[in-house]
Amino acid sequence: MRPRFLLFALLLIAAPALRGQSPPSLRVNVLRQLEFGSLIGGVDATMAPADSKATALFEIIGPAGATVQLVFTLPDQISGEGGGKVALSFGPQSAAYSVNESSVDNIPFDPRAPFSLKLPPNGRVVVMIGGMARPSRQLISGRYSGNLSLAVTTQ
Amino acid sequence: MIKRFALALALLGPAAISPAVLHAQSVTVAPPVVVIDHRSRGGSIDLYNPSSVPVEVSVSLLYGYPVSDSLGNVDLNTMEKPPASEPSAAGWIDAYPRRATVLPGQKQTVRFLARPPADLADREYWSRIVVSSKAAALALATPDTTKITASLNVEIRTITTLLYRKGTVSSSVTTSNLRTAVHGDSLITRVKLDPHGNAAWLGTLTGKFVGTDGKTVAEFERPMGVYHAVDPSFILPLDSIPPGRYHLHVELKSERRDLPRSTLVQSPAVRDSIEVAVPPRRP
Repeated sequence: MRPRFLLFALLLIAAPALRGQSPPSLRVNVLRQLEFGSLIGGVDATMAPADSKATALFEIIGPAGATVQLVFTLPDQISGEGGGKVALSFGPQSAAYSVNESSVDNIPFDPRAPFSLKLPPNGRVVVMIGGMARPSRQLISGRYSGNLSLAVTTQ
Repeated sequence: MIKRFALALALLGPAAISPAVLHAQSVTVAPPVVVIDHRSRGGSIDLYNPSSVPVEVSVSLLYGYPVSDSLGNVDLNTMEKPPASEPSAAGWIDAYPRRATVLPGQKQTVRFLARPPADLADREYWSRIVVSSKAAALALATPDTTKITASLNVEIRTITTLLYRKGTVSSSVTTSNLRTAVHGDSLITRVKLDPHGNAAWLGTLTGKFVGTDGKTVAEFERPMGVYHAVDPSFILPLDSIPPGRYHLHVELKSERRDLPRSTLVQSPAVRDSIEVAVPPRRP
């Protein structure tokens, strides 16, 4: 009984150190897709990264101190099942990142250009991206969708 | 702009601004740097899906290395067909499998097999591993066709490094043109870095602003990969350094917190320094 207890105690003590020895990796989680929701023809819909709960949300987890480069490939329109199009646009503050997953301390950046950031000591950063949808007045009803890609590169 | 945003939110209604979390889509790539030795000619990465949905992944290789622009921003320069003078391994390394669906909680090992040219010279060869992932198609609820709804599907491309080493490899780096400049509310340090040897220099650059009393008032640190000459910038907020005279000490060591030592080609530390005068802030 006692050796088993000792082994258990040793494992408890060693657990943090063992966790610290895990091999380095790079993880990108898509926590949320970008949803413009229901649109009204002729009314622009803007999703600011900090304010909206419908912006795309990514979590990047990697080695502390590593520099990662983010490159978004952004569509300029999305297509409807019936063949229509909705124009999209992105601006200099359409994206932001936060090391605390907070809308208060996030730092905006322009998703139209490559952007590099250093992973904080906990190795985790949250990236948000919004944008503007510009449906025309004559737009037919239905579901419109497109593709957005995020390339995360380590140096 | 704010008015327009508020109007949009008001018109969109609660359904549109409620959290649109679909299913977390995720993939972990480990390790971030793969080193293949010419004797074994093989290596691997593990792709792990910790999310609750299946993820479709595709793996490809691409040649690329970091470059800096006129402002010192560092970007990855990729080439589909690199010139023969570039030490690309992308054309003769294959990934198996190239496509897979990784189920929730499952791991997929992707193996790399090199088929280098017979007359391959001793040195290090480079490639980037591109892991593209997207959530596997799921059955959608019947959409309400009376409304206009819009969304964007997301594809993630995780780009990591592959190094292929044949024979004895060596690497070092030299510095030149260390300088600083004030731009707006930032103090920008730049230094030209030239790699030497037959392998990329991987390491960490640190910079310290040391006052006349010997105390460090500000510092920066960045993991670096120097494949070709680069002239990167390091930006500090100007208000983090009181006006005065300093010595800026820059040091490059072949150590990386994010990479095991066995991955790095060791070289002596390199140091450079200049005197810097930080001007008073303008009101």
